Amino acid sequence: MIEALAGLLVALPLAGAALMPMVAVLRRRGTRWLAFGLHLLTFAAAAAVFARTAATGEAIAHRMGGWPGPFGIELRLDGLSALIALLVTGLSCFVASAPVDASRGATRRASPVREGLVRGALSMLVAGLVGIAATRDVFNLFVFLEISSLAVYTLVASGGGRATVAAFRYLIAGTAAGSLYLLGVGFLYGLTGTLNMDDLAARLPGVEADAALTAAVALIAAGLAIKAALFPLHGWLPDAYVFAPAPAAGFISAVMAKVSAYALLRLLGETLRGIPAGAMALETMVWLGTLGVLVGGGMALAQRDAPRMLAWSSVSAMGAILLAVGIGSPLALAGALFHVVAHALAKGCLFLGVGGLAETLGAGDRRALRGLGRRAPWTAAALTLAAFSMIGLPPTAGFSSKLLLLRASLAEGGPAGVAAFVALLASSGLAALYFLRVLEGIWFRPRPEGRPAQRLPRALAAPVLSLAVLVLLGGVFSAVVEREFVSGAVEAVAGATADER
Amino acid sequence: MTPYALAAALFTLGLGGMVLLPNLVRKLLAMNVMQVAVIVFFIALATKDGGRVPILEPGETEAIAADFMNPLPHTLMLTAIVVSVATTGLALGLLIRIWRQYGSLDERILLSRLRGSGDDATRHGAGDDATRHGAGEPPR
Repeated sequence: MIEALAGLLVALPLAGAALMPMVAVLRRRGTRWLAFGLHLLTFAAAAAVFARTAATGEAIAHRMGGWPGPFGIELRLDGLSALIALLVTGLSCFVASAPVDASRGATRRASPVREGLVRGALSMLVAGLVGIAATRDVFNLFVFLEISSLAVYTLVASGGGRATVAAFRYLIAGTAAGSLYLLGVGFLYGLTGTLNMDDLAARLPGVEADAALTAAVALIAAGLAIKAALFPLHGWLPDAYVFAPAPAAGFISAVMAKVSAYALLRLLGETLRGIPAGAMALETMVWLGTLGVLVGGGMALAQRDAPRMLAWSSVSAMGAILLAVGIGSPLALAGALFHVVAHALAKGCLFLGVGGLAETLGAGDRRALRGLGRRAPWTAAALTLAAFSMIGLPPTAGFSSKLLLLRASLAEGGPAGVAAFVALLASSGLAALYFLRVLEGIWFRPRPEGRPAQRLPRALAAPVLSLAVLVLLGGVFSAVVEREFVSGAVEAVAGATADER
Repeated sequence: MTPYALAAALFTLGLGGMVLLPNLVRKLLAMNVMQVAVIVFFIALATKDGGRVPILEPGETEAIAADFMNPLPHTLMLTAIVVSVATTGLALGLLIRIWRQYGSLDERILLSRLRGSGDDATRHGAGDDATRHGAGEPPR
């Protein structure tokens, strides 16, 4: 019975994607609640799967079309996959609860077609991302990668105007990434004759380590690294995050790149770990991640525009996550996954809040946020909490995850570990500089003369506040989060790699 | 030219075009060339000297797998073609909107507008100017 949930997790949002435009044309008003209900239902399924894997420590598998193992496509959720699915479906509920054009003021309602397409695209994005988390087939992973990408291009483009150009550039980069990955899969298939991850891991040690195998690993790593915005392949990220409309941007910035980071962890950290080229790719990732942490932080500091500053800080955070995936020790993986969760909550909160405000004001300039503390103290407090989490200040979730990452890089030692440690510390310093600059404006500066008053639409304020509460809870109960949520996921990876050794 | 060399040449051509060509339509065409390269690669994997199409002749009851070409890469590429068609369709839709809005498909011109500050009027229907409140909520 519970096995069916693994299939349902993908099928439900996919059906929603097809249904949403039709429902919207017939009954525009009902669409929002249908979408919210559907995302909630998917979240409930993910929660059930997660609870089961956490309780038993075993994966939940669904064989598509009843075909077993290496022949058919297997959807299998272990602790790690279930955690990612839980995060994706959970965050989608926050975004789906808001009206499509929430940030554009109550006077503007989306047309039925627009409403249906944007909601359908969000549903499709969830289906793609959950599919990436669930599948055990490398070609199927490509298909889900492209499903989620198509949905995300649509969501970015729904911002209109400059967002259309950003979406096109994202599409070109994303498709190049997909083709690189697919070519790598072709090499792997040619070498081993299988597409199943477990089967690949079993057969690869017997394959002669030649140029073809190295090419396969390099192509797969490069393709996924583009999608995960690993420095220096992050070029698509800032424009895409900045120009996407606020409710969607909250979701995209929170999970999009991270699910590709998950795919990198699954393939490089697990399936391809046993071969020399895979180990080399992981080592390169530590160094590039370290550079990304610094460059992202530096660029964020240089931005005048608040959403753009947040987007660059995402480049920095992806660097931190990927360098920990590259290190690959259980402690580092725990740090990476905790950081995935903490950053998703905090960045979702900030993008919904700051992005929503910037759009209602028609200006992204961070000075537009001045005086917010007096005008809307709750919103300002929520943004402050999320910003503390980004910097890594206690008692937020970001503090606990940064601490784990720092401990992991120290424990790793060597030049790479020390460089990572220094970069992570420096990124907290940089984040403190650029976030405190904004916070100072929010709390201690008066609203500039002649500026319209800032007011976050209520439909956006509710998710912003709840996400901030989660950021706080994640920090206060960090031990619980680590034990109940992260450790099972780490065991899922560590267990698989321990078998090989 | 072996099919693998063809695939490599097409892939390089496509990737180079996507990065270097300034016109967005050309970028899209280069993207398609790159996708075709991947398809050629997979099909070349499946081909076998003297291999038959994996369909039994009428009356044939026994078959040895070694006699047939591998059908799996073909089916994979059917899916990849569907993905490619969907991506191209979406890209063309975006290009039409970009053309209508900016009257140009040259990346250099578009980028200068993308990065330019203060030119946000197209997006919000209202300028940065604080005295106008086109799309936003009226101040309270």
